[in-house]
Amino acid sequence: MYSQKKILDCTILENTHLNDSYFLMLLQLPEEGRVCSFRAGNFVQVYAKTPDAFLRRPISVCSWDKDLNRIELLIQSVGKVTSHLQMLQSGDVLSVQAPLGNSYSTSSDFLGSRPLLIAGGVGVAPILLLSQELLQKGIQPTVLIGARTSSLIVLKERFSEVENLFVTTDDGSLGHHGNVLSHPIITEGKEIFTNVYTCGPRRMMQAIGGWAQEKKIPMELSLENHMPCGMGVCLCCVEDTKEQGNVRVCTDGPVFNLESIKW
Amino acid sequence: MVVDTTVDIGGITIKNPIMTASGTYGYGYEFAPYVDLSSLGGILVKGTTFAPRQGNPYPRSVETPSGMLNAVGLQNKGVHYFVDHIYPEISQLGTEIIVNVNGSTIDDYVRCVEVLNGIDTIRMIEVNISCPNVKEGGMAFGVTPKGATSVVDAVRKATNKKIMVKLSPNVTDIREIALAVEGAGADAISMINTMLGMAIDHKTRRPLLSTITGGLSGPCVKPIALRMVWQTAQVVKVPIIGMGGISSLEDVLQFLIAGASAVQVGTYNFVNPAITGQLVKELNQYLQENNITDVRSLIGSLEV
Repeated sequence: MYSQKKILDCTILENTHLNDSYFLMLLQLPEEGRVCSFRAGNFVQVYAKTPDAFLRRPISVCSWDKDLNRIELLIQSVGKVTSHLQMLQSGDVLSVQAPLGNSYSTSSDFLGSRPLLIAGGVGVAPILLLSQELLQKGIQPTVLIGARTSSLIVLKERFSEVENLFVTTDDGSLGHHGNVLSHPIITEGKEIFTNVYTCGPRRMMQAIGGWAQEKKIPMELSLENHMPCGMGVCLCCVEDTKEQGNVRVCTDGPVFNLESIKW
Repeated sequence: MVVDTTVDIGGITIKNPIMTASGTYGYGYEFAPYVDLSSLGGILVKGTTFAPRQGNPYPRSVETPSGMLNAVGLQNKGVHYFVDHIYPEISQLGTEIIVNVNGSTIDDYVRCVEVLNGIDTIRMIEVNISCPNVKEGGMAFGVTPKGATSVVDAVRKATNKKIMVKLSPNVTDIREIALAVEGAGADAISMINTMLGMAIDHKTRRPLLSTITGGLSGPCVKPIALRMVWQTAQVVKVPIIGMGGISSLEDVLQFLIAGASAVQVGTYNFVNPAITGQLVKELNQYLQENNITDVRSLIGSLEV
């Protein structure tokens, strides 16, 4: 699904600290951003005006308000750029190159009637946008959110329209005690899911992939490699795939079908 | 006031000095959302090899202070794919398309160039001599005058197109290499390619690139690039196309003043994808505001 791409100087409306390292930015796009459409799986390349850093950083889009021309970015402070962004305030301007990447398949050639969405940690961002897209299509997705501990379970309240929302924490501080694969909806196998969409740590997605393959459930996942350009020209973000060799995560992805991944 | 921004880059004239560096601009069309490509002086496309290449394993890049290291390894689908599938898509972009050619052996370069000979609208080839020479144990062709000459000699005999030779800075005296390639028939010299560098993760005690070392680019290399352009301009007669850390109009002017006839913008395209289009406009504006009717008057105008 092709969208026009732009470099947009966005105004930060809100920068909400969700815990020590996660923060949620609500961005007002300028008028020229109205030609852009954002799909679950898309990301943006964000620029931080700090002398400590040089390149942009890729951040998944977690919501899009077409009417108000706004998007939200869920960001984890992990390094020089993201820690700089964490300190920005409403009124500050942020340069965003957008929208980039492909998106989760929501057309009928992949999407069935009972999709399962699994998010790990900050991977909840594109999963939130995806759940909204599915709800708009009249589909009730089952959503499973996992993290190490309760403070890292974020945006849960944004899934209020999802009837079957489940949470797991490794330390049991919220929801089911254990990782996502240990949740009863997986282990008891009462419901047959038609497809799986996931985003989270690589090891988590690999483990879920093992389960999905065993159950013969088609699955899409989202990868995250270092992306100097984010637009398919530098060839640094590559992932080796089964049939296509080295593909660009920023352009041929970040969403990939499980079948193509060489773990 | 009418200003003339055209420059000669080795027997061909381009509309202005702003070009894009190979490996940072894909095949051009990727930047169409951000730049009026027809406004550019030229596009150096992603490096081509005779046979397809998968390139190096991930990770291929690391950000470094004011720059980055890359170890991409010339991933591309080979010259036949370029000619059949890519060139037709970009030949009408309205800017000079120059094809960057690489090889592991002299034969590779020659066979690649021979395929490109079939396309008349490609007027110039950029020969990258920073490639490791497998016959010489992986040492780059371009680190010795002899190695550089051997490639340019062979390419010169293989084509009537104009040849721009891209120099590696990983040498003791760039002037030696520049003179060697000029003597072997280069119509122009582009410089500099990336500088060899390295990055380490102190927590894992492992290199951050899969290949251990890689090429450094970005604003951090500009002083080296400027120095090499200036040094080379003192000894060669062919046009020099300068590159290395260009991110602003000031940088462009510095390279022209040092002796470059044109420039290539590379790594900064990742930071500001619109930069090349902006530089074309800013250069024009600068010439107007300073009553400079011909951009060529800036070339080599450094007063020492």
